[in-house]
Amino acid sequence: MHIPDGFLDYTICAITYAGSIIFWILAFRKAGKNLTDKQIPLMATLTAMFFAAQMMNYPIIGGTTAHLLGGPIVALTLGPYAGMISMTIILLIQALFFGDGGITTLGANVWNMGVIGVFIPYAVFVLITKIRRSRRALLIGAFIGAFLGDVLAAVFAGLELGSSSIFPYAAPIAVATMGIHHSFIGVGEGIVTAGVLRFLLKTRPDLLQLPQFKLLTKEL
Amino acid sequence: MLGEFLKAFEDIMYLEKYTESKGMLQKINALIKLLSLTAILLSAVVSRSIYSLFALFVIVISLSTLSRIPLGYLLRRVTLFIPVFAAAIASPLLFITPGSTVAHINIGPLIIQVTIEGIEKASIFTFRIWICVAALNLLILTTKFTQIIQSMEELGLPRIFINMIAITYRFIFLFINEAYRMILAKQSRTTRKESRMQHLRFITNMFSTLFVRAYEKGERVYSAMLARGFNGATRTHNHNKKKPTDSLFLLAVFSICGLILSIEILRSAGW
Repeated sequence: MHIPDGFLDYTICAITYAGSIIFWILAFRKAGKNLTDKQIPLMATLTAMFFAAQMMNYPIIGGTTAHLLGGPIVALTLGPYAGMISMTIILLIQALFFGDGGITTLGANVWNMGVIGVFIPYAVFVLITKIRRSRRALLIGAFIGAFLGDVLAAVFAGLELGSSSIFPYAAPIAVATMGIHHSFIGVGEGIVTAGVLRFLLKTRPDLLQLPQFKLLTKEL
Repeated sequence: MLGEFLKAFEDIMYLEKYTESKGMLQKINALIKLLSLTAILLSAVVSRSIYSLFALFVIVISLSTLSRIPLGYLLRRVTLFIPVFAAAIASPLLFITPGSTVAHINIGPLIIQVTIEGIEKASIFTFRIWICVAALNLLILTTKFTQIIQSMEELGLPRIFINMIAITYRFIFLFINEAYRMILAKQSRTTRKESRMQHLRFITNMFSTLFVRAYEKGERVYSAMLARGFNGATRTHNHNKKKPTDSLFLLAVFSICGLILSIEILRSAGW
């Protein structure tokens, strides 16, 4: 899922950077207003934890294994804007220190995993919890949100690769390959995302910040 | 899964090994290095001809030699993962690209042809990616973490972002180690093969436990910062002094990249 340098041509790099920059500006404006001094080290240790947790893999079909993308759980625990900042830091460290990803493709990777992979799960989750407010709806919302977030992030990655003039295959092939592969990863991501929320709701509901959780824990 | 964590430890251990050697890139200001290696990356992304790519290859290899990074180490580190994967992606091109045939394989009634155009397309694609990965690795191998943070500051990125990266980076190793110990403990008490669901349940529990620990750690870190007199402002010591040689280096890299770019533009305009 991390697109390295050399896969995307300069037009696609410029477009995806532009998209990510818009969200960066929004996110940092929000963070500047809402984040207190106390929350900066908190977000940093959580980001470090997400970084480590993303290294865990699980078997999908055949003999292949997959990594968590991490976006959905980041979105539902930190909120979408702080989540995007957290994902940006993870992607930047992965690129600049571990060589996973790239500099010219950072915009694309942030767009796929930090914008689509964070805002889609959040939007789906908010929508489903609006329709029905219950513990089950919350977990189903988290599962569907995580699944759709992963698949859409992969579809975007496929689109970017397919539209890149230096990538040898056309968009339909790239989108289909990425989308199908990530729909399997998405199921695992959905299960883990909903599972972590269930665990936290049971043991430490005070750590969940989004209003949806607050309303639910008050009602229960 | 354990293997991957061990590899991460190894990466981390050797990450700053070559930043201390007295080579060329190590002496260059981090921001200048970031800018010039990005210029090399962009030229590689724009280049369509094997000649331009070869020129960039020579630049990357000479920079690596001048920076006292052993060639064998660089070749191993760069080639093993992404370019091998890229070559695998590109391999069908050998057969599906129309053009003049150089070889054919008969499988029963089926004839598979390898074309010159296919070989050219696949090798340019893989070669370009190799150069990009190598250029990124030159930055990683010759620059310390604090220098990169400093250059981000010089670029004018938001303060919150810089502070968060600086703290995150310090705690990554702690949490990787924590996750590793949890997996090791789990594997040493597992005696039979687990189902997929059981494995996912383990990941979920581990993730949740790590989340709670990270949260509590974050709160303690803040208290510790307050106890040491933190008042919201962060001051850093600037290690990145710019020297005249830095500007010279930037000028040299930019002019070479500019030359390659103009040749590429002229070529695509039909010259």
